[in-house]
Amino acid sequence: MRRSELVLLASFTLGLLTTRDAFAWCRTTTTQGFVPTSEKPCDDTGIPLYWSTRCVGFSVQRDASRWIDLATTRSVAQKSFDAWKNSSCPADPVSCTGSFDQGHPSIEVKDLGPVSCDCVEYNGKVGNANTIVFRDLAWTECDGTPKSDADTTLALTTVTFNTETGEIYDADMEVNTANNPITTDDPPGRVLYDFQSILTHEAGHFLGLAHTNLPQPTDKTKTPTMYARYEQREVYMRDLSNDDVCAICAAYPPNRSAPCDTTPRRGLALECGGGDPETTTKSGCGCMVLGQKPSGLDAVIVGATCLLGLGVVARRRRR
Amino acid sequence: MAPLRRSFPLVATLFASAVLGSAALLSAPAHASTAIALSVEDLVDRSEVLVVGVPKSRVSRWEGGRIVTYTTVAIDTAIGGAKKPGETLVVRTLGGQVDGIGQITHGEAQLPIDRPMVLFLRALPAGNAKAMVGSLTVTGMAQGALPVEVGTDKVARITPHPVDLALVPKAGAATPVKPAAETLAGKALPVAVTELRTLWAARAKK
Repeated sequence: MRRSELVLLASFTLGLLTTRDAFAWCRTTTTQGFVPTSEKPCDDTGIPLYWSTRCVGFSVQRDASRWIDLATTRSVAQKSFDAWKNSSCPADPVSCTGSFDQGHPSIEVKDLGPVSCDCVEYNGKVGNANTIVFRDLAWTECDGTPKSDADTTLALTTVTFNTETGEIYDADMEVNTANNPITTDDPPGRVLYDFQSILTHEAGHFLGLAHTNLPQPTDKTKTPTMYARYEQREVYMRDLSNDDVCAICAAYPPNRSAPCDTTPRRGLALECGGGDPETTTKSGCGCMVLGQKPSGLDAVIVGATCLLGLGVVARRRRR
Repeated sequence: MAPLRRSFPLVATLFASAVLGSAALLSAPAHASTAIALSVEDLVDRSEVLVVGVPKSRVSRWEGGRIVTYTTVAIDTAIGGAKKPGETLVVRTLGGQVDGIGQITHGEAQLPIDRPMVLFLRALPAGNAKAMVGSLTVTGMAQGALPVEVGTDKVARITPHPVDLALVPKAGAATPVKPAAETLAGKALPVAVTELRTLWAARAKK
């Protein structure tokens, strides 16, 4: 092989490697039913999911966990979200190059206080809450319906979105403390499945990110938070890597023009709303205390339901 | 491997998907939540039905505040359980799209239409009154649905793919479990089917 050919080959190989690194991070998209492959782990056919506002609210289910109390949960959750907010963006987040001093991503997640609802649900006609809820006694739905894989699931994040635009409407996290020893200790304390690491990773999904395609670095403390593996007894995924930072900055550029409104879609629901958009106004009450309310008939129905039917939704409260 | 000989449609489907649809079919979002890694043996032990199947149609609906999807899967090769090639089964997964609203439960199995998969399945837990009667669920969520593709050598293989879950080793395990997707990745389908049948038979003797 001639020298010029070798140079060309080397350049081509380097180019491939550079491209792979540049697109190591992935975003969740509107595409349904695709499976990631090693050749193409990121979907490029759907619309990436995103929050349309600069500020988003989260709420911890007020009972928290018998293992992790409400105050600790709120504190750890805020730290987990703040890790993303406090990133310093690079000049080019897509290629993940340039100095990382271009400001913070235009997304911030704020604690809206506890809520009663322990359901993972999206309400199409009444208020919502982006809830963090523990499954302490059994890995079940809020109505008691048992879940599959109860003993092997640590946490689940469910994101609801507009299929046409990719706008995220709602995101809920469930943490399975019924079957797993999830801890909040800082090293060198007793660290098993580290709560903050789990929440920081799930927060990435909450914000519309998918797993990174980057191989695990030799220095595992530099492993991206959105890497698809956790290591028990480790806490390094509490801290974002450059790959994570590029992902969040690409999704929410610092100069993005967006309002700061933490109100969940159709208002904050302190109680469960019943879920099914076709029946929410009949089966539950999403009593709104913040932000916009639905207009017209929806508002009348919601108001009446709130006044008359709190007992209906109380059945969904934890005792 | 009688089913494989009988299953020309599978090979045709695989080849067609490789030739015609690589750009669309190979692309994928990586969705994830957090789960404990399951080995191949774990998946076999936890499953009631084990097949190579091709998702043919799906319908999503609201069940409470969740969207769930019911996918009809045509069985190409029955590896374990009371199912036969040519039959269909219905698999319930979390997430889907209904009337402009989409929902993703990160880490749930994805069953792309017309894409062959090795599926580890089991019955839904008792007490799920909302779910479609007789539907099955994927064991271990995304861990139990392994896509199959035909490579340039025209051999059907289980696709190396990033598991859709952030996996952690089981607490207290002496040695970390090797996830099933890693163990089976790249194996020719007939080889994988033979190995899985052996594990299934061993399970029956336990």
